[in-house]
Amino acid sequence: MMETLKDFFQDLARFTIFSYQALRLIPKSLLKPVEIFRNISQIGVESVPIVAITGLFLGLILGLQLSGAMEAVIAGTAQYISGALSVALVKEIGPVFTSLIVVSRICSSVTAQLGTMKVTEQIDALKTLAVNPMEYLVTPRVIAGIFALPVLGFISIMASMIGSWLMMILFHDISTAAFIDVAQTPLQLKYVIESFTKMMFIGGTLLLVSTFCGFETKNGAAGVGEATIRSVVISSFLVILLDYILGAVFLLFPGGEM
Amino acid sequence: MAKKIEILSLSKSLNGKMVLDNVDLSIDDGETFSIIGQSGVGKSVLIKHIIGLIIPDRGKIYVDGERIDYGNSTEADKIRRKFGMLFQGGALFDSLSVGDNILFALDHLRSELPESRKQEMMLGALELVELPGIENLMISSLSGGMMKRVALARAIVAEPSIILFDEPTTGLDPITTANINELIIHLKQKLKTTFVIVTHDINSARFYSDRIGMIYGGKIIFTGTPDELVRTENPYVRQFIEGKYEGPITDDYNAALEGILHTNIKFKKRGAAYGKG
Repeated sequence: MMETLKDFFQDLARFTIFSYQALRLIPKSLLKPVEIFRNISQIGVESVPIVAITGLFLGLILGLQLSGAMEAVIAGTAQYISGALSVALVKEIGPVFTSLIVVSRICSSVTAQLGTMKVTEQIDALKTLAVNPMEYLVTPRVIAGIFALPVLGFISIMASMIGSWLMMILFHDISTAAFIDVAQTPLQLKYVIESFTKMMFIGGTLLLVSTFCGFETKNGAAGVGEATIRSVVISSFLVILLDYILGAVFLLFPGGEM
Repeated sequence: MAKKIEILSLSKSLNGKMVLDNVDLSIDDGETFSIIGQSGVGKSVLIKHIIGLIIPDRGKIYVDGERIDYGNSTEADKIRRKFGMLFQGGALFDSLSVGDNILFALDHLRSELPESRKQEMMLGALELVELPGIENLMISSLSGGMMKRVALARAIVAEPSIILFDEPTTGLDPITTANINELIIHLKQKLKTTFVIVTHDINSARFYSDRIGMIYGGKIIFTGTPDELVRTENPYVRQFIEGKYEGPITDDYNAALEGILHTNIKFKKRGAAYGKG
């Protein structure tokens, strides 16, 4: 028990130092945008199809089930569910859902890639070529995560709204104008700001965790497997935890309460 | 002769085990020095200290009279530019082509050069390792021997004054091994730089070395020319170079193994006693 706790705090200390080193290099990294664009393309652009499709199906099922439930409670009120959906998608479901898709698609591959580079001494080779591995491999990915996740989240939320709209016009004969009108009514600018801030924060953290797990890989191919599992499990847990913590923090701001 | 590399009282423990214990070693300018010893004895750890990939627990390392300052990354990078290193598995970047791997080294070590000159140097390095015309191939399509040679081309392309080889012939078939050994000799004649080679292949080491050092038990137990190595009376070195099972190295190993088993048996007995009680 004591050993596990000790290991946990040692890992946490190393992660803190690792994060500090990576974040400190952000200004320097921004001067070399090629690496950042390459990573935004890998992390962001290539994730657009999966994020859009899963978002669409999420919207389809939510629209179908919730509008049906609403209709069952009070007949003729199915359109009001679009307001609840827009708030829920923007504030919670969109950010968490998109982050979890990014964890499964990106965190696993980043950890496996960097882990393989670590065990095949490619990271050591970088150092011998006077390249700082943090600057070359970690910081550009973290920056890409910070910028890509909000954009992916926006795409996912829009796809979900389109999905729920489709269900409502098909099954409940609701007009598009009514759907948009009700969706906009409860939505506030601060919800959008909260959503985007959360996603930027979570995006950066996910990439820090997955690059850290990659850099800590030991013991060959089996080690790469273990590191990937560790990265996905910790990242998934952190998505939910950070969403909760940041959501709570936003409640402290004036007008933050719902 | 001028000292190229000087290691003074270097000690390093890894996972609670003393891997290097007060190691002193100096390597002359322009010599080919081989470090031999069994697998896992700390040979690679020693050369990784020389290039600053591992930070020592104690001790100092001087390169061209300058001490490696591990805390100062700019200074450490400056000293690293004097080195080229061939890693055990090649450590080539598999996302890049052969040519881009070599250009990557030039882009970072010799960024001041114009692109056309870098291209020329890249092609020249591939020619030196006898692999002309493969610059557009991807790393995954190369054989083990070719990978080593491409890695060697990447190590020498920026014209370092010291080249470190970590097990250059491990895992290669006898013919490819002989081929790499010839290549090392050929490169030595052309480049005339200092070579530090880690290997457990005793025949290869005798073939290309000016001097050989053997590590055992965290210490350098022998240094001398290949001829002196063959004539030495040191029983540890003799067992290693003759490749015999019986000898002091095996005795030490068995004693250590017995120690581990003894401790385990004691634990088991104690566990059984608790079980009964």
